[in-house]
Amino acid sequence: MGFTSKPVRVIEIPEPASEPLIAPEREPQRTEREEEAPVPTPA
Amino acid sequence: MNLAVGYRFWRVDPDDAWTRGRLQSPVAETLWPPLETLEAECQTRPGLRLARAGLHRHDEQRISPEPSCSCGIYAYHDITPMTRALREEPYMFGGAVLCWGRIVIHPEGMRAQHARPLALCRPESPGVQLRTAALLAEVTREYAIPLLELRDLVAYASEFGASYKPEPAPPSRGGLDRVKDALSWRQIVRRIGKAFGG
Repeated sequence: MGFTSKPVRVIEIPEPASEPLIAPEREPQRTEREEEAPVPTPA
Repeated sequence: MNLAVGYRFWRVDPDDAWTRGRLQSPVAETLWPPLETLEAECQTRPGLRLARAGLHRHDEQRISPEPSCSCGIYAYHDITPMTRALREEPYMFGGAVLCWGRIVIHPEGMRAQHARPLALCRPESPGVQLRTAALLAEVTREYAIPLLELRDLVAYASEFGASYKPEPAPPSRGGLDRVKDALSWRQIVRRIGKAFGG
């Protein structure tokens, strides 16, 4: 990577206060095995 | 002020046990740390590929990127130059980055002081997709970033920051237009007359 043109502007962007950078975690999906788990019968 | 969004590409070497699963800058060979911020460091010492004699003295006090140097973390404003580069090498992957700190803005992209990867994009070629699927899954897991279709990358990245692409410069005006701005028609005719000895 490299640029052939000269810079046009310099800016300063403050460091983000929070951590917005990591993609939000998704809800864990239930597996088929969990869905098919047998319901315990009362004794 | 919004964080800056850009697009770039990385190399991931599947055969290197040390760097496998890590994003590597293709030019400076810097490894991007997973889940951490990459900080720019000027490496333009004599003898290195990036060296540009006389532009930048290596100085601990100086912040990278230095406008007159070539240092900094590179990213394009648009995805087009990124995708062009991806077609050239099989283990080169594109994606979006978020940048902040000092940003040196060029017409085609920017050089940043701090950056983190936001997302990677799936290769367009089905053959490359098949060959690199496991590797890309490993990389995106390592960096906790999503693997997106190329068409979704810009929309996703825009959620985190903004583009700082400069407005295109107005087309330069011709010499005659500039003369007409400066002089009246009467002055022009008088000067032409003088030039021809009238």
